[in-house]
Amino acid sequence: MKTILITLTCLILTGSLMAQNPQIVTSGTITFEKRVNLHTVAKQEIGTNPSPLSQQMYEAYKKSAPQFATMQSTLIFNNNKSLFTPIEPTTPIPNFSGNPINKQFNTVYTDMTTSSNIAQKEIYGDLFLVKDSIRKMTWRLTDETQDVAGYTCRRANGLILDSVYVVAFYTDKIWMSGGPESFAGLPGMILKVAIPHENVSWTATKVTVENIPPAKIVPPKKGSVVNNKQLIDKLKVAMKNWGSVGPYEMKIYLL
Amino acid sequence: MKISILTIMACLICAITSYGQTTYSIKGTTVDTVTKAKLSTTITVLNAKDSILQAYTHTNADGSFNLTVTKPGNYLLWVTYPGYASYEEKFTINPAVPTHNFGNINLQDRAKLLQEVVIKGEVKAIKIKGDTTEYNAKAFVIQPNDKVEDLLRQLPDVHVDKDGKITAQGESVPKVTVDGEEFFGDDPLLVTRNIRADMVDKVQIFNKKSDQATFTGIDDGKTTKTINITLREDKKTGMFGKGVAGVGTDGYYEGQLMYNKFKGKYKFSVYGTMANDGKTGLGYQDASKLGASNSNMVILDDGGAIGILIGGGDALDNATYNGQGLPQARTAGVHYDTKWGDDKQSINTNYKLGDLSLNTITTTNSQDNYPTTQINRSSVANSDNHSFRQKADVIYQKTIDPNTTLKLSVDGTLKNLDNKSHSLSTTTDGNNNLLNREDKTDNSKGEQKMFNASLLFNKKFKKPQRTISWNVSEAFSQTDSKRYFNSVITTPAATTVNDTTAQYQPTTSISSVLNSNLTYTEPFSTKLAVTLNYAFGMNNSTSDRESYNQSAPGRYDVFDPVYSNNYNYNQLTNQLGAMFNYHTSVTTLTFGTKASNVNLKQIDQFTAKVYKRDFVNWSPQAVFRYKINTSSNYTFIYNGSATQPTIDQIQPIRNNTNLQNIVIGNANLEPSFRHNFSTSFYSSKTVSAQYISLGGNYSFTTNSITQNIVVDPTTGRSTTQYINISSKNPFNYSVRATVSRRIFGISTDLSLSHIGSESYSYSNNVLSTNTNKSYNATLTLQINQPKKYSFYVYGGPSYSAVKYSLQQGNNNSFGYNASTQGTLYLPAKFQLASDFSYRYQGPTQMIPPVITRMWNATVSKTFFKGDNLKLSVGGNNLLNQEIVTRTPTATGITQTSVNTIKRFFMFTISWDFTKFGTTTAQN
Repeated sequence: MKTILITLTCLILTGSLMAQNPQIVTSGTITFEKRVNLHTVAKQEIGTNPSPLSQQMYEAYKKSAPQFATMQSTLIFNNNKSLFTPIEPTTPIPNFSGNPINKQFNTVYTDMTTSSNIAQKEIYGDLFLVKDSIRKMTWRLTDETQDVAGYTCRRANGLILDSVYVVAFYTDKIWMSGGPESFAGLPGMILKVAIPHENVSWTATKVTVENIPPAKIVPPKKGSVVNNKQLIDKLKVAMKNWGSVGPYEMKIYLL
Repeated sequence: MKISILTIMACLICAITSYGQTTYSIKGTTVDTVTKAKLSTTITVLNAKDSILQAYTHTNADGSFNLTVTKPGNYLLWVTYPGYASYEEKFTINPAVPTHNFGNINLQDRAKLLQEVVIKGEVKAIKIKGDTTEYNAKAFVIQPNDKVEDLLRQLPDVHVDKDGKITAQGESVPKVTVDGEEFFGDDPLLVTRNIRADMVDKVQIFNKKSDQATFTGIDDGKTTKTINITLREDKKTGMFGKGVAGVGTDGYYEGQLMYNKFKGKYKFSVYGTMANDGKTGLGYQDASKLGASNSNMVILDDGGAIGILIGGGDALDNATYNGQGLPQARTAGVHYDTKWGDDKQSINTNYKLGDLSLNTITTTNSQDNYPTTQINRSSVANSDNHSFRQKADVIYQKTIDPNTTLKLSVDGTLKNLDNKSHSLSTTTDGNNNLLNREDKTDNSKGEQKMFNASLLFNKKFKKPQRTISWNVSEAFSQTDSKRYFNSVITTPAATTVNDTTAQYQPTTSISSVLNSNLTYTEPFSTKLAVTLNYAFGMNNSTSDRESYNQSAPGRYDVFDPVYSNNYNYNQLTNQLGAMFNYHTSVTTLTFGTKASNVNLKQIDQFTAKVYKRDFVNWSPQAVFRYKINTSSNYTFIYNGSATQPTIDQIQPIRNNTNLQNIVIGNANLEPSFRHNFSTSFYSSKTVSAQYISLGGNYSFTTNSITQNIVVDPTTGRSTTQYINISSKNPFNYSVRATVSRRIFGISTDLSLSHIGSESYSYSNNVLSTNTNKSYNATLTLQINQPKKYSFYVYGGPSYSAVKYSLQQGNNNSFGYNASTQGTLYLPAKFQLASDFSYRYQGPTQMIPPVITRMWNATVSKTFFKGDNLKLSVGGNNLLNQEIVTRTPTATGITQTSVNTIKRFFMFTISWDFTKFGTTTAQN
């Protein structure tokens, strides 16, 4: 009986110790900045052997557009649920040819307990509500670390959509295996992710630890409901005659 | 001890629950090694050999975890908690050992761990990993009094394994940026060569940084250093070209040769074409490959680019044949462009030659109705036009600094023209009585010299949106022509009258136009800006035309003062404009006006009479655009413009080119003003292929200038005078709607439109109201499968109601048209392409129906992997049709038919050749 009393006390003590836990973050707001190298993206769009007209257009664009464009977004999360919302930029981003990588078109709700997410995507006028389970991503952890927004983050290299190489930095101090856009699946919050071959990156600029009322983390509702496979089929039909631009834009819209 | 009991109990429960299932799992509890407090840690499982993430979880409230692993294998367990050294342990899962129990995992507080190492002075075996080097334990010197904080900073990451071996991360990896963007080396385990061929190149570039790049190390003030690498572009070299040769029936032929060479920054090309089948130069695609740029690239706010083509006013530049007459064209050209000085300066130069001949036979039938009479005219005109042209142009551009650019363009043209025409016409009245006959010959030879120079200066200031630009240009031209004009008009009356005119008219015209436009944009806030402009124009021209009659056949030496004239013309324009621009992310509003003060002066050198006129033109404008969402918008536009009466309408120069109709001047003419309103709505959904576009416009003119034609019913000749109408305002309007959908995989468009107008004129001093209404519906269907087939058909009915108040009856007619085009890719690289168009113009009360059909078809085959060689056999105008057009006029109807290229077959060979390479950049 004495054992039981001590056990109970220990349990209570352990419980109270757990309740404090100042180091672990389970709820808060993160501000992300998406950064695109406009010049390199435009250069890749005109291809390796561009026509003189495309070359002229690219050179004129290079002279008038800044090299990098930044776009802001916020991620609010609490206890394994998160909502990622882009912020409309105050000045328009000079977009060489309507490339989706220079835009923010995703509003994403993620629920790690059910392993599912709902992404509202605007694609050339159509509003889609993509409901599906979180995509399988292959991650390889490394020993490299980097400081992002005051948190020490570990580097993980990953492959998404089977062929897109990404580099992510996550922190195990934030207990939600989520991140900006639809990036997820690491043992902690992704505070920085880059797609080196598409010249785009998302970096957390500010992390605010605060309690977010669960009522604020709700999935978007408007849009025609599809799952990932149905969206891919629709995009394939629409972009059938777009040549090489089709698979490229499809890949970006599926991110 | 108490904890152990709990753990054992937990284990027992786990064992019981997992009994009977073949799931693989791991479990354990994480505690602080000193305080024994339960720690909520992150548990991560990686593949032992390649560190690929397999599973992860967080421990429960009591520090325990139970994690499922999907398959057997060799793994690494990794336990982390902020502030603690992370724990690593290798383990194996296999069917014999489906559950691995780690028991209690002890985590060490990092500060305490390092403190032990430091204070106790024992150099425990610390293996420190850097990013490319490994420090050995002895190399890392730890002084007994070293502060833990210093160490903590230097070793951000510390691992401890099962046996207590400590591994620490050394100096953190420096950040590397390439051309300003952070560089993350590729991971060879994830990125295989198949994924993207150019990935490997980038890694090689990084490794070869010593030959191709320059280092600029930047210390950004934080503890991490950043290395920036600037890459140099590889030099591209190569050449490409095209050769085409075609031979056809009835003497038709075509040929083209084009060669381009480029190396690094410079490009050189040369081309030549000759054809009599309607091709008058390089097609648009081939011309753009040449890089012969006559275009100004303008980048819009949203990043899209539009190329504004300048110049190119005749058939040789535009390379299009409009189906009228029989052409023969020969062109050639040379182009060179290059950049230097870090791409800040560039030069682009061209030299082009062109020889164009056109033989046209035009048959015209017209009917004009007047209050008291009807005049019918029919004529056949045969003309041969020949021109030989040479043009040289240079464009020099310089980027003075990232915000300032300069562009200088200079061009010169020499043209030789030789036009001959002969026509026979007959004029009758409504009762088929012959009124007159005319036999006219008009031959002229001319030489034209043109010179243009323009300078464009643009500067962006530091304050965003504040810009200034200045454009100044001078256009000079001189034309010398010699014209022989001969006309015999026979009027059968009681006494036959032959009216003969035979003249020799040498003319020299010189004109010099100087224009300058200064524009300045100043922002008041991020949303509101104003653009002010001041433009100045000066036009000085002289026109000296002498007319000589014959003293003896072939001798033109009798000066005719009636039809000779010598004028000096000066025009000075000053324009001031202000346009305000207000924009938010969803609305744009632009409004403002321009005011031009024009001083005209015309001096008649013979009579010393001076005609002067000063006036002010206003052009107000307002544009409103509302962005409903990213792919729908609504627009409303208003603009107003004044039209001044021309010198020809006020005080025409007497000329005898058209003796059937003489223009009388009107010194009291006032300017007219036109108000135009238009609105449109557009929405597109590309993925669901739904588009809708609606639009309309309305415009009316106050004080419009129109003609009063007075006809002499006995001779058939007329006089025209221009007058203002103030009691009536002519107007026109249109509404249109287009809807597109994809139905059963076929892209379908339906367009409906209605256009209406009302205009006025005078015939023999009586007001005539002309009302025009037309209704159109068009259906378009398109379907294609790349490399298999493509098919396109459109057509629809139309109804046109034309009414002239002075005419009896109406000119209403119903018509329809259909057009189709298809390409079929057959096996063995054969291709079949054909297009057919049909047009039916229904009969009116006065004219019978008109039907036009045009059908072309080609069969071709390509050879070689890149489809470089193509042989084709084509048939043009297979139904051997002529082109007939019928247009209503103010007083009646005119029907014209022009000779055109008839049916022929042609066999063509086309060969594309290319050779590309790269030379690596030299340091």
